[in-house]
Amino acid sequence: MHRILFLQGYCDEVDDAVQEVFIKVFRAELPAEEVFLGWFYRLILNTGRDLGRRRRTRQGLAQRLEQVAPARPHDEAPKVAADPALRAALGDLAPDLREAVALRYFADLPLEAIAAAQDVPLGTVKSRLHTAIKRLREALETCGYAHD
Amino acid sequence: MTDVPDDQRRLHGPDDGTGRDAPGNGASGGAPDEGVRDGAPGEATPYDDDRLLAYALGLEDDAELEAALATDDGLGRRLEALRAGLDDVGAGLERLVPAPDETYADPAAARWDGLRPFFAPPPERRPARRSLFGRWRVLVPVIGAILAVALVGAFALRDGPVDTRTASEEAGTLESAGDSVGAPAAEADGVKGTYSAKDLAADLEMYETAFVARAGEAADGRQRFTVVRQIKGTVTGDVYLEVVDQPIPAETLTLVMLGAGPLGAEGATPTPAPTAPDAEALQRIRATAFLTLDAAGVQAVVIPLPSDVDLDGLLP
Repeated sequence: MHRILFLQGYCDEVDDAVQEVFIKVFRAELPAEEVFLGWFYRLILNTGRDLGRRRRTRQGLAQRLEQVAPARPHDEAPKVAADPALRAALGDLAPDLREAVALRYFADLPLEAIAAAQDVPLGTVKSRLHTAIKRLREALETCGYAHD
Repeated sequence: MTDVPDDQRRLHGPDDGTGRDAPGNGASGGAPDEGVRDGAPGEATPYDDDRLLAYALGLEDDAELEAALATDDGLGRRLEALRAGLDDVGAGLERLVPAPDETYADPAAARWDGLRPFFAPPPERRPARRSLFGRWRVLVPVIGAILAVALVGAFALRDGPVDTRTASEEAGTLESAGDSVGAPAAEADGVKGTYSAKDLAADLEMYETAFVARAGEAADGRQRFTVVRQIKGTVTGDVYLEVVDQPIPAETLTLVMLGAGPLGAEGATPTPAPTAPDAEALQRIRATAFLTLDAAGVQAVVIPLPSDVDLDGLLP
């Protein structure tokens, strides 16, 4: 949840958003099990959006990504060298594309659940994922870090 | 936007509404479209990278591509490279957005102070006491009734089988006796059908004459009662009453209540009372299973008492 809210990029204080999600879930009347995933992640995304509207982010996502990036071992240097390009590509992605990527990579959600969470048709999710992943991949290739 | 061949458009899905170009149209980020990688310039192959990407991401079921992968080694290598690229993207995301450490989910951490009220155990519920009280409120009358029945049984066993009264008559008689011997449980529990000292006091209001008498032998439809103690009105000598229901066993101590009028000595008959109890009052008394006799047209009530009754406790 923390990583989804972070990558969504709307709010600086992710802990506040996590806390607000917890309180909303605590007070909510939980939906049926079969629709729970979509409901839960939609609540996360909406909480991030609401907080973002109330407290505008003071810095771009790329900057914040740079701040949170931990030091890496020396043998990861080539990969880390590619991170600025990836960071910039992430920062350039539209928020709804980043949401789709976050739900896919961090929550490992199936496409249908992503569509439910984002409240869009399944085809839109496919398009968003396709576009986002392609751009991130291209960013890695551009900086010379790519598989042959 | 440029036109997209049908076989590529199928993979793109509907417009995502972001205003961005769909993949594979040559306008995404300025990178050359991978779809023409294996073909001549400007000629899209059936298996361009967009199609491979959709397949690798699990966005599309592509039976045709799967069949081609089984026979085309070059296509297989492209798919493997693309998958490795996707892994790189995933690894890059992991590096850029690291997962919080294990202590992040510790509810005791200071960052979650705002959630403390939600982690606290719910306060003890007071309704438990109330429900216990409610349970006793139901149980007390039941236990009282059981005790009353047990007392009835005990008295019945002690008095023996000579009494020919019905069970209901017996119960009413003995419940009144229970009051007289200072066992107020039945009265306190509000068990219906008991005849308490309070009932007696109310009944005495309706009768002109009342006394305690010991039943004698019954003969010719009449029964003699020897006065033991006067309670209300004037009674002299023995009183003879006509049997309506059945005679009282001889030597039974009874409480007799009659309508107005002096009772004379042996053979005397009471005068019809102008203030005799009405039918409703009599019905109430009969409902407590006491015998009623008729003394020369005057309604009389005879309540059998146990032999060891405490008259001082029962009578006002």
